Amino acid sequence: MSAWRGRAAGVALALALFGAAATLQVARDRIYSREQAQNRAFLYVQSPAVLRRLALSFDALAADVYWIRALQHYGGDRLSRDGRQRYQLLYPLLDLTTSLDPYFTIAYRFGAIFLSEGYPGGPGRPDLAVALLKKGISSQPDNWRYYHDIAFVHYWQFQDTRTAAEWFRLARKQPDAPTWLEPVAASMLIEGGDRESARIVLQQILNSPEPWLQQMARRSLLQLDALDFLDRSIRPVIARNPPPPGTPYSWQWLVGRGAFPGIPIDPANVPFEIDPATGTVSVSPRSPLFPMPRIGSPQ
Amino acid sequence: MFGLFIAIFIGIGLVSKEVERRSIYSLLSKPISRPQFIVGKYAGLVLTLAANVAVMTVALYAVLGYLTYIQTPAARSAWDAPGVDPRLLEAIGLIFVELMIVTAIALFFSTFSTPLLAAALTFGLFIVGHFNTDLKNFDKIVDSLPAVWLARGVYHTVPDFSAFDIKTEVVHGLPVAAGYIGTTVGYGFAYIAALLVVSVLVFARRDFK
Repeated sequence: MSAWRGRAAGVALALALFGAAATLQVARDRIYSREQAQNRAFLYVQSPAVLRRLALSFDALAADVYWIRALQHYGGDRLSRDGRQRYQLLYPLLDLTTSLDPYFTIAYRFGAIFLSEGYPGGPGRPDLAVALLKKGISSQPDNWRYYHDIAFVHYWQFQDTRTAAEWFRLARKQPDAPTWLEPVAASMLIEGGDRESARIVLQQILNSPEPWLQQMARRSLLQLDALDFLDRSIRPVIARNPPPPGTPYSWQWLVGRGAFPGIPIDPANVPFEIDPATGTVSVSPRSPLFPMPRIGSPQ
Repeated sequence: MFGLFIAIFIGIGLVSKEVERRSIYSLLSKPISRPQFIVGKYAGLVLTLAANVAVMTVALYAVLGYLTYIQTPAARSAWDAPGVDPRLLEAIGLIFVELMIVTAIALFFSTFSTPLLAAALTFGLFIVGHFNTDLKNFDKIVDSLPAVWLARGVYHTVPDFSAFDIKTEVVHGLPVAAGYIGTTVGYGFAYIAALLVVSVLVFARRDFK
């Protein structure tokens, strides 16, 4: 009986001590916040050269560890609800990862996406994203994906369609690059308003052995013709012939006034449409040229 | 790290080796109770650790003193904290209490398991304990209330080693409140006492026939 009591007392004492430890833990956490120190993210070894030596022959393993750390750093900062999104270690971690394993394609590509995301979803550093991808190109110059990703960074983040088109065309020149890169480059040029360059690219695509590419290039060239026709021959005429107040814009009114010999048609032989309120002319949704590419002003 | 290895690899053999060599019979036949045996073993290893930590502290200060001496005043002025900083003793003190907890854990596992298993379990708890802050902050990234409560429960159950690591604050000259150190040390001692009581309870029930 006394042995049983002794054990019960021992268990009670142990529970009381664990309870005391937890109480002290809770009290400490409430009174003494370590936010400042805990929020300071540290990366003690920042030199890729030093780290490569420290990793001995376990470079690839260390690269995996740093990649996981980069993911945790990005995810932790992105999901944190205390407004501490700073991502200050993201690029150094990605730099270390890709220095330890220069063929870590995923780290280059996803790392660039993380870096180029605008704040607070990311650090908003497309310049570093491009730098990381160029580092990837230096180790794998034949990998078209890096060129393609740089093009996307220029398109989405810098909104520089002309540079994006150049990188898409560079991507297309790499071995095993998919054929659709060239049309994408042409689309970029059209969107950037560089219709002449787009025409040259599309003419080259017409020589492609793949029928679907030729068809796409023909359609894009017709769209460019439609855009040129709208800009040169239709819009200026409408601007010179505004209807009297209270009268809507219409082809009938413009033709009746003698501004046009008939209802203008697009290169696919479908009449253009005019907005009665604003007079804006566009390709008809019934036209095979619809939808038209997003466009910038012609250069 | 040396202290950690000493704490784990000597701690795990404290009881099991006595049983394995059968020297436990001659020890327990003396006027030593089982609780005294456990506490005595623990105190002996803690004193060994204290000697180890003291020697390494002296060596650390000697190295820091030399490095401070060879640096230019301009370089020293860029440091967040002085090279030979007495506040390092706060960090070292907490490291020592942390090692005391590791020793208590190793001793606890040593009372009922093999040395290999005890080493694995102690090392595992040491690693988990250092990620404890993530469990505490689980609610910041997870919406599920049961998951948050589970994480909070684990946070209070496993040793909170991350709290003993104030190296970052000391090295970068950030303030560490005396109350923080006091509550953390108090937490450590309560946790050690609880582990020793459980170790005594387990050891008291062991049959060495």
